[in-house]
Amino acid sequence: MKSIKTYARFLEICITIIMPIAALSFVLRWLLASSKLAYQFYQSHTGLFCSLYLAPKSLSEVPPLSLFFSAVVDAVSYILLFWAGILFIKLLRRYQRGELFSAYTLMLFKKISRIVFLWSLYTPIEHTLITLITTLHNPVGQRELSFALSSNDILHIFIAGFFLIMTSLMHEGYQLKHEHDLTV
Amino acid sequence: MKIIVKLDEVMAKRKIRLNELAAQVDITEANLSILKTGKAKAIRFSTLEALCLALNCQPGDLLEFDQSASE
Repeated sequence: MKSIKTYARFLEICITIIMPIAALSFVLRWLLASSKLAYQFYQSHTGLFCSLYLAPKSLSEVPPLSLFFSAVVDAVSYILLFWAGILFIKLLRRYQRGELFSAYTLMLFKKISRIVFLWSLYTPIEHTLITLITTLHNPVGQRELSFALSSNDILHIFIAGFFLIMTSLMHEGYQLKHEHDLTV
Repeated sequence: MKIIVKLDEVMAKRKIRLNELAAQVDITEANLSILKTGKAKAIRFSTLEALCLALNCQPGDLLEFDQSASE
């Protein structure tokens, strides 16, 4: 029990630090998206820049409206992750209080696993959408529609699957706890 | 519930209160209340033994199988 509380505290601190940094990174990335410096800096970002060798030399050639829609598409994935993160923090706080198998923690776990699953499915689609949006203004023949399943995407699906299995385990644990509580 | 707990009947016959029985059996009043109100999912042999000893009865006096409920 003590180790669970320690890990929960550690994880809560990590997530609390990471979430604002991720938010800041998102805002900066899209505010600076049209500058050449940002293009060089974020060149390794597979989703946004995977197909840019074909069409624009930098994102400065992408119309602002396309950039805006790309940012919206990217934001959806961040919103899903932040939502899961906030719920995870709530779950970790319950764990720190020693509340492991309650109806509320089970509900939180179910929500987190569903959000993570949704996110894992959305990530490959996000790459496709951003590629399409950033190349849509190109002349005919230079527009692109691509779908890629990277090792990261596969890892995300594994993580989501793991969370779904963990939810089933938590459900079993909750039922056992309930039965144990009603054993006299 | 197929198994009916008749603890309240036996307690009434013996004229013993919940807190007195809880003290004799050495379980909490809350747990004894769970048993008395029929919310319990299971009962330990040790609890049953202690209850039978305190109430001077047999396990059959405390528990009853309801045939109609199971059908």
